[in-house]
Amino acid sequence: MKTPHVDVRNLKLVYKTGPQTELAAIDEVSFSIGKGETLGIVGESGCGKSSLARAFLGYTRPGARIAGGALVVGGVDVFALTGEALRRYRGGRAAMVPQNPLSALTPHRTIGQHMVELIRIHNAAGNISPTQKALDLLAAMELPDPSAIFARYPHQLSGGQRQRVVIAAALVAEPELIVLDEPTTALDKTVETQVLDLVSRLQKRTNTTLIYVSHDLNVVARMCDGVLVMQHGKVLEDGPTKEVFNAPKTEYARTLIAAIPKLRTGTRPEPVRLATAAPILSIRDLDFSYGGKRSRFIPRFFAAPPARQTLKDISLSIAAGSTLGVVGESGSGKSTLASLVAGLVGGNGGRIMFDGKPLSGLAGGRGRDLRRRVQLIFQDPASSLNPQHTVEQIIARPLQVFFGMTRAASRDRVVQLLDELDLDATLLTRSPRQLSGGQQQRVAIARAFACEPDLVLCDEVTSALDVTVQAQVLQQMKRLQREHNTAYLFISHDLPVVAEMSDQMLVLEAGEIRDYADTGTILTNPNSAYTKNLLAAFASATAHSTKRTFQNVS
Amino acid sequence: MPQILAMTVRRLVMSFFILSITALIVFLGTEVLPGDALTATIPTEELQFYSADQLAEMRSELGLDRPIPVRFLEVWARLMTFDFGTTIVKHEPVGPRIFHPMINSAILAGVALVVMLALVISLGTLASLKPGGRLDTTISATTLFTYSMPDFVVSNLFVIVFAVWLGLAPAVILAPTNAPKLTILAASILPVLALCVHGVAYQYRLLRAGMVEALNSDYVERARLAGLPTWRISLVHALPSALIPMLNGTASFVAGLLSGSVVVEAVFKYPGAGGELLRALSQREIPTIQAIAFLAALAVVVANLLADLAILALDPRVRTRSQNG
Repeated sequence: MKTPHVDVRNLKLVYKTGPQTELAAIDEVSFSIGKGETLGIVGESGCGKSSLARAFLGYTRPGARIAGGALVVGGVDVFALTGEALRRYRGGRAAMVPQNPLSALTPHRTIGQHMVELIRIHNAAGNISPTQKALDLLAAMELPDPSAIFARYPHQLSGGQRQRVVIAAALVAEPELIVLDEPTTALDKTVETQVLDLVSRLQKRTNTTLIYVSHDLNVVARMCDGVLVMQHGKVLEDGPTKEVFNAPKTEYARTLIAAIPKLRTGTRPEPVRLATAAPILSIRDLDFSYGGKRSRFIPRFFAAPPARQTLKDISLSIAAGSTLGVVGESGSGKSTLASLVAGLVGGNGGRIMFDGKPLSGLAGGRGRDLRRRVQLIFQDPASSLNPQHTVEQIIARPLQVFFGMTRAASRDRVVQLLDELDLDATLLTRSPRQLSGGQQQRVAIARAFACEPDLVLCDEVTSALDVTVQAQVLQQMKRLQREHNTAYLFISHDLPVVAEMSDQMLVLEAGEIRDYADTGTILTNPNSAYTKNLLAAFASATAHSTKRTFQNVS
Repeated sequence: MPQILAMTVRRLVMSFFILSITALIVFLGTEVLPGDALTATIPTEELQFYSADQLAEMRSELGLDRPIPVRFLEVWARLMTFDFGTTIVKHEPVGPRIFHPMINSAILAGVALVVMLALVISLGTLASLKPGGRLDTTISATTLFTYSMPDFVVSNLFVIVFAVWLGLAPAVILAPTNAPKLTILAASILPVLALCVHGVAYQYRLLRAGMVEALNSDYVERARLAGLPTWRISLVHALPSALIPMLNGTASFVAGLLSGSVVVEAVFKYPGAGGELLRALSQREIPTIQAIAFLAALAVVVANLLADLAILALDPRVRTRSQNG
């Protein structure tokens, strides 16, 4: 075997957890990657894979440090680099494609400013101007109209465009190693395919070594030559992708692979619950458009631009204790639907009935009891949990506000709620930033259930989670639903997940209902062409990954 | 940028209403409370020498016998057109009288604001280069101390230390109100510093909190991982975001400057509007009080408008949000 391009030996990375205590996030990890190869690193949240990703760039978050071992990239001992040399290595020889491109781009700088800055810092322009180089890179990422993208701010781009921009930024100095941290988490299925294909083509041309850190095993199966399965900071399996996927050696890897959501089109074991029960939520002819409202007091000159129709003639109902799944790609209006029911935005037309009474206007005008009975869980727990509060404060707050509990009484209930979600009581004093993504989302779920709600709006609640964590969280949510007889409006772009959770399903495209029926009916006998295509895309995504795996064998 | 223009116009319309309400409060405060402008102006001991007929005659001469709404509209129209009228008893024009004190105070407040911002931004950026470092800790501790010092304590301390002990500056400023503005500027050094002590502390704490948040953000981590130099990350990536929460504080600092400068001007005998306001209050010159109160409100409104425009310039997301309605 030739000298590996990336060689990791006995790497140990620890986090400070107290004045004297440290916790190993990466524990004696060793592996290597050949030049131009692609390695996938998979594992649950908190397994240390993101810390490992950052370690490739000689970077640790505040509070963490490298406690031992070596990491060599192309003959360079990364941990021996300091000051200017380390700065030139980062972005120069090794680059990182960050997890969330929206928060990873500076909000007040244009895409052009980001690109030109990096090109200047790394002297990467060659004999063309930095601006031209930036435009070329954006064009190479197959972004339409690079000069328009160049002038825009991050928030003005779509998720797919932002993802391409951060990849372009990583390519600035033609690094020999690129680490991609959850590169497609924020993308729709169709966009994900495009971005991954693009990265593959670029890699073939430049012979770059790639590291995919991902919870999405489908992506890893498709893109990677080798795969590393991590748990609790240790490497459990390390081998060619097809071997690990087809014949996992450890129990954990088997669970991980089994947890990949698959579309089950066969007969559903669970009967549709309470289909005849009175609906807890019913919506009739709901319309909504953003920017359409015009104040009576402000003259026309100041008024907003014409409205964009986001939702059109939406009618649905959810029986108490049951789940309605809403599927759609980004921009289909599915999150707007949740915002309307939650009262985060006011409706323009139609009627929302909750428990037989009209539920109108904004949450602030609904009264305490209604606000308690309708709860919302967001996609990103990191930003929906107050970073200044401890876990106890976060979950205790609704108890104190809605039930007037004392501190002592609320603490008992908080521990009980944590227990229901299989979370340890030792987490009480932690702040959200100290938790893993799965733990954060479970805290958010506990907060919602602390209110004893009748309806919980779940907006992409498991989209940011690893498959095994996702499977656990979904199971816990089902259990909570049974125990508390709570209805879910379960929104996701991930069709297999929605199908798994829902009694009934609703397919949204461009603000209109394409299909609305029992889950079994949708999966086996969809009405619209759109739903048929969607089902086919998810079915082929699973099939494709296995096919690729077999191709690697030969 | 038509949406920025639209927003500015909208804010100007709002400001007009705010100033109108200010005019109303000033008017109500000085004219509708027991007694009227005339009896308020004439000292009590002199009041007994006037007969009821004489007072009535003077009232009609001054137009005070007209209904309240009519008189308010008149005051409102005068204030809005910056015609501050004449004092009630001596019939002196108010405008020219308060012109120099107002300019002097504007110099004091303006210089204080510039010095304060320069200090805060450089200290905040320097401290953020090494959070938790010695410099950061020192500045944080110092500002916590100075934040808790009232303006009059700081001013008197400065007089004692710089004028009495060190003899670096005169204890009180002897320049007349209409002195050349350079003389005023030179005389304003100690008052400016006194005003800044409190402001710097508060603004620094806001900026530091903003910097800590920005430096913990994903985009700063990305910038570090992309090999950008630390100073560039602090100045170009973190600082503009950190300034946004501070700027609203800066606008309220301007309001604080106006009340603070009354105290500081009194201590240093600075020839500004604060002294003029105190004099007008003691002599019950109602038009002068109205004029100064109105101009102070105008300054606060303008400061808030400028802060909002600065936020618009710093955060493109706010720009497009105002576009979307």
